[in-house]
Amino acid sequence: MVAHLLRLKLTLLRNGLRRSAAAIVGMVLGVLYGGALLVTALVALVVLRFRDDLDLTRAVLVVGGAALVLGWALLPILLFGTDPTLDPTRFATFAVPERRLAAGLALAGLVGLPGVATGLLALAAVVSASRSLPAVLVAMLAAALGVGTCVLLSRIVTAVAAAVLSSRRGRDLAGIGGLVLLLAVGPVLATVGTGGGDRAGFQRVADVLQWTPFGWPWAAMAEGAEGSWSTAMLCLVLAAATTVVLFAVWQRVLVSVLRNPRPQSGGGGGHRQGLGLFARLPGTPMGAIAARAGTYWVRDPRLNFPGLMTALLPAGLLVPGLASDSHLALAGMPLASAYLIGWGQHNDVGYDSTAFWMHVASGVDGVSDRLGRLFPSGFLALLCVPTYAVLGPVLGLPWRLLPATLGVAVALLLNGFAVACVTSAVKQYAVPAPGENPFTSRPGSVGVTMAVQAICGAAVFALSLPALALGVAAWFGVGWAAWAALVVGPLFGGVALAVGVRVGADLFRNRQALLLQDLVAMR
Amino acid sequence: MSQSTGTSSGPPPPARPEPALRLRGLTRSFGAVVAVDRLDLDVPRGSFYGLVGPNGAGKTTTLSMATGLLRPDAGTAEVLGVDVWDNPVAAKSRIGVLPDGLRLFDRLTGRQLVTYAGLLRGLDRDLVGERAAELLAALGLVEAQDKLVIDYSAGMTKKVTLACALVHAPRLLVLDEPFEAVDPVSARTIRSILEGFAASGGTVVLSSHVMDLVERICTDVAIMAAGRVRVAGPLEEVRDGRSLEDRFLELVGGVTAVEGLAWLRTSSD
Repeated sequence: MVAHLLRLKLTLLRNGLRRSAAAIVGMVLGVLYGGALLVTALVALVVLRFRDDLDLTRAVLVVGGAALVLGWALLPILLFGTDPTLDPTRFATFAVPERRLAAGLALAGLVGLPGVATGLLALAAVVSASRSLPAVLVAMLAAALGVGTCVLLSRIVTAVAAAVLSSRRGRDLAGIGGLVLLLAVGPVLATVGTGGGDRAGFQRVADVLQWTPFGWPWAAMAEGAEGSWSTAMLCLVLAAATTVVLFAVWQRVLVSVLRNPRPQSGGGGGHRQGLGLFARLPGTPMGAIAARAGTYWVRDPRLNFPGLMTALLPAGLLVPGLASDSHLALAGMPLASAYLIGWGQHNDVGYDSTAFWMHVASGVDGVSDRLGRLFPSGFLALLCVPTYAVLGPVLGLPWRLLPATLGVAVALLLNGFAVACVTSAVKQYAVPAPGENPFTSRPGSVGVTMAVQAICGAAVFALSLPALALGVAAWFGVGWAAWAALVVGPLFGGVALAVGVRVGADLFRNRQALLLQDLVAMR
Repeated sequence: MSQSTGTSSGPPPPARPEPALRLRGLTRSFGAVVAVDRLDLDVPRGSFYGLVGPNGAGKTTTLSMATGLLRPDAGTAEVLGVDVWDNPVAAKSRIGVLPDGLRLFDRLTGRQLVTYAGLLRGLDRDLVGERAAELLAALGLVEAQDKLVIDYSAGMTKKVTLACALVHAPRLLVLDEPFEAVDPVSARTIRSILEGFAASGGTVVLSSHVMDLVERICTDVAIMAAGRVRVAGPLEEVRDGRSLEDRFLELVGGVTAVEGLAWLRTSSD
């Protein structure tokens, strides 16, 4: 069974790549993108083996390992999603013993680039801890436990998150949870930013993490390398216990998902009276598209959760802004908010999935389609950007910088929209289908996703350079530059948006059938 | 080659110069597979046209190319004399489409979805409101109109898609498998609406693999196989004195006799 699932995963990965050249290019880019980082980390770990600084080895192993575990737990929710082969609901109709299914799905989670990278990192960690033969044996056991913790934790978190988000109350709770999480992440970042810079701070962080479930397996390696066997054994036992508990929890979650498959409905079901936004926005094609997009932002967990995160994420900068009085963090809030909102629109057509045929069949004009889609995020930006911009000076940023932050933020927002208007008519990457677990990603598609995202980000940045330059000048005390940014940002941004809408509309007119074909192929 | 298209199987009515739908040399391949191969077809105005063929014959691909949803590799599609790919906006305003296997914006309520379809076509909101109400009433969806489309049954989903296809009063309706997964009551409703539409001068093209149904409601029929039209024309001519199913099997290829599968017969235990 385990072998079957692994083979299924590999086949899906291969077929995903075979379907389009773009997926291969994307995967190559992904390998280059992450590969450089990975190689650096691997070299660093091996070099550590040949230095006699055991304290440093321990700190690096524990902090790095804990970060790896946290990454597996959080990145799927925040960025990439897990892949739907592993969506337990898909196995609801098969008579597979639950324990074997649980093991198979967990192991299949290792197949793919993140799994390979993690495996390599764990091996390098074993190398860095290989001071004696017993140490190697302990390290190998610990590495396996560490990797197991990563995978199991990520499975549990995504399955639970999907279940929670499928109900309305769950989504509200998740919103609050996200806020709390952000407020918690802030202090950690602040501590790392201030205290983590020096060696002693780093050691202290390691000392704490060593006695958390995130750190146990890696601490076992490090302690083994140091030859303190009792501590090593204790950590190893704790790590093993964690893995066993996590497996039991994963199996429990899996069983509950298999026995109560997620309802297809967007939650709640029930009646909604009237036309909602369709009655309030103008009765034109553009108004209709805006109303539809707005309705989806409210009802579709694939859109409202990221939307919420986008709105709240910049608030995380408040913590360094207040705790360590960082003006840069305060000035960054509106910029981050504007960038995230504008850039976030670049794959909007992908979220329509094949329902996009309604736009194609109706012969709606490109400008209506392009501008209508921007309505919900424009609305969000109207709330968030000025709020964050004013919040900065209220909390201590010099008021003279307000025009600059506002100007640069508007530039980032409008340029983001401009880029989105063009890209969402050119190439869309696969996103979870409507009704699917919002935290899924397509096998082999992460590369394309990252490539498109990186290109869009670079384009937004390049277009915003004039305003950014003025903003930097204002930061360094050039008085007139702040006001110049307030003029240049919106002006250039407005021009970029006008051009983007025009170009995007032309592309939309010529390519809509191709886009639909792409979306059909992605299903 | 197509043995007889609309042109060769009798002249179209003289007062109606151009057909409702004219396909010429339509070709489309997916990778190495040729789904539709130099297909010619004329659909006369006011006809109730059935397109039948086995699975994989290219029916959906043909209808997608005729309605502007899929760009052909070669060939042309004209709706009432307007080229779908040269002048898409004018052509699309005359077509109502019910595609098969594509999603809907199913997180809207039924009423919102029909309204959306109407507004996308550039209709005035009050007009859309009236028409949506009438269509939903005629299709028996009034009770469900404020429920999300995702909670609809398959038959209700077909009906609400049909309402979307009709809301802008098209002159040609192109329906891909409109009766699939539809219960007899809903099928009767859909059928009466379509017959009313055709009787008032509209043209209906539908694909199906239910021969009985096509035989009962269509005035004209084309049999497709392997990306080509095998025979096309008025129903009586195509049938040629036999049942449509017999004629279809004769053209498309015989049935394979079922061998083996003895283990499926539970009585053999």
